[in-house]
Amino acid sequence: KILPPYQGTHSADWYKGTANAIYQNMQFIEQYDADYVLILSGDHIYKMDYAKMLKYHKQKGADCTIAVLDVPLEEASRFGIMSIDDEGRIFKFEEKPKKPESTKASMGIYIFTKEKLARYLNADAADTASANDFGKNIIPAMLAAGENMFAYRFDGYWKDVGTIGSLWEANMDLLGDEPEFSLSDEKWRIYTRHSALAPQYIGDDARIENSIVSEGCEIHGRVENSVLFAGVKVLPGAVVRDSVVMSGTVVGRGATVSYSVIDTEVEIGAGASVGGSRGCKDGISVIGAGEKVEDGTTVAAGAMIPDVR
Amino acid sequence: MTAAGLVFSNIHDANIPEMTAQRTMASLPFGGRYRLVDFTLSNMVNAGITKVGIVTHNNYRSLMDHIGTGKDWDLARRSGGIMILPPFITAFNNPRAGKLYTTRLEALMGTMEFITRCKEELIVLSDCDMVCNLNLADVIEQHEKNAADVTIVTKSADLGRTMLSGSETIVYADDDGVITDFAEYTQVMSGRQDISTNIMVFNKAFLLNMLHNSISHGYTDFYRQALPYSMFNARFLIYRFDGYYAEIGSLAHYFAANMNLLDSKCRGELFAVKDRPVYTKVRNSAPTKYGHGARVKNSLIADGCVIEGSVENSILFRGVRVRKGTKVKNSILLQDTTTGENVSLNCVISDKNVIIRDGVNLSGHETMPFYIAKGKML
Repeated sequence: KILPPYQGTHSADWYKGTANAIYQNMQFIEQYDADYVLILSGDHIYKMDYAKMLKYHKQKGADCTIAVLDVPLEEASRFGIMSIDDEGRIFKFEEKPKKPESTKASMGIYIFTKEKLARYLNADAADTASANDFGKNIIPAMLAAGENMFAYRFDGYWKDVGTIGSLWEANMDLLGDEPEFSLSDEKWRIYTRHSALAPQYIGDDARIENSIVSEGCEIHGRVENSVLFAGVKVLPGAVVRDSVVMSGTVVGRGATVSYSVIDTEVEIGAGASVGGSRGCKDGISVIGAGEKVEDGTTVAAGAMIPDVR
Repeated sequence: MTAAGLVFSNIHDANIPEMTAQRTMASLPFGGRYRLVDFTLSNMVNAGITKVGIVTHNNYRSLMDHIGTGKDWDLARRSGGIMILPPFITAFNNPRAGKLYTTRLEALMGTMEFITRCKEELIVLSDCDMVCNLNLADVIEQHEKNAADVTIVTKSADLGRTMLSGSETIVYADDDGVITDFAEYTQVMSGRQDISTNIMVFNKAFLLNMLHNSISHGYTDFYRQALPYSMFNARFLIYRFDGYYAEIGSLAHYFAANMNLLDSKCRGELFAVKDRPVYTKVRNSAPTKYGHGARVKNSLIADGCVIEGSVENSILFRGVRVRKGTKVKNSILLQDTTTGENVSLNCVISDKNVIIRDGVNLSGHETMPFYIAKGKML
């Protein structure tokens, strides 16, 4: 069920912060008469059995359990860092600390006991100075009040795809003989919407290496180290390398797409050239949904169309 | 007028005994992700039919699993929808009381209750042994416009040059398109003839009358007795279909029809028809992964495959693994077939879950492909 922001009886606004989004939807939570609430971010790539985290939450008698991941010390300043005792109890929490005191980063995955969650959300909503954010407001408030906060350690692949770079990387992590992240694990299926498209057709002149190609694609050119979504067409003579190409895009005759992220329904004209070489200093090129790159044009490395930066 | 559909799921099973040993013809996997029944159901659904009965005889477990609630064909409905009609064995109006029916006519007799209860005025009959994207709505429109009692859809073929299964029925019609005779194919027939696709539109009342009459007179054959004997004072019209049509009449037919999909024109006529898509059961599979040594040419590849070797002029179904050094040519590998390394396959049809170990070499011929049964390990 998708819960868009609406005009509530008391407060009407877009969601102000992560906590505000939940606050405005308390009715949805109450409807299910839940005892526990699991809060997740939609922009992370990982496999986790949440039932295990809930079991841990109950075992510890926690009011709030936060899933944490070990990150390299050099990167720790990018995350919300938890200081944890031997029992797993959180005694300190710092958002993006300049001098991190631990390497346990918050994954933005929380389990709350509903009563406590409701109480803190209500208190937070009444505070006009608050940014209504879990990491900035709710968690520190609960910690200061001495609530039972525990850290659930997660081990495994986890990627936050909040930047072009990490989105590209996460896709590339699917490739190779031993991919970092496997989509074809029979024991942990990833479910999604599928459409009834025809199987992919690979033509006589096609050359595909180390790539992932989805249903409905038609490949007549070269595809290397790339991820192609459903219904992508790569015409004869075209080359797609080190790129992520989303559904419905057509790569025209003789065109080149390199080190790029191409959104859905893009038309790349014949002979066009998009992007630079893999890892180049200008970075990944990006073409937005529905855009058309005219025949013969060049889109430079690191360029973004349309440029919304 | 509204129409209901009646589908015969395994009337031609005997044509491909190898592949129908444990499944109905209707559930025969085709083209990388379809089953033959998908074409039949899609033709009906695209013509606005919302009620379909599928007549089954035996081995219909995988068919039931494939159809499920009918949701993927928009046939999971409160009113109408899809219904599997397993055979009555002891019904009083089953002429072979105590045994399963054996002919088309007997199968029809077993569905009389279904037909009677249909509110629709037209009944569309179809088999599941062919691949075509037919504009059934047009057939129904012509049927009504020309006030026909029965319309039979045919496909013209040159008997001398077409691969035949031997169980075809020839339909003879005059210049006004009125059917004059039926004849079962025998080897002495030649030339260009109209072959029945076994897709027919009946006025419901007429169909029931014909069936009751057949019971009264002890008829056992549809094309030789029931139909021709009810043609007097009735209006039987022919509808000639001229699009791509493949009858799956033998293993060789099956092989050829699948290989035809490698031609973009054929794919277009089947899968890219405006407003008439081919629906099938949608499954959760990861996309296909091509490894470093993958070499794929002129092939149709389904989801969930892992390809590290070479694949040419072939059709790979879901979840097929082609390991390093393996060469697959002119072959059809059904779901979850796995090859080891350095395997060589030519003109091979491998059924589901087949495992072909390292270094094995198999070669058939396009008119006699090498078939490996479900679950076999080589």
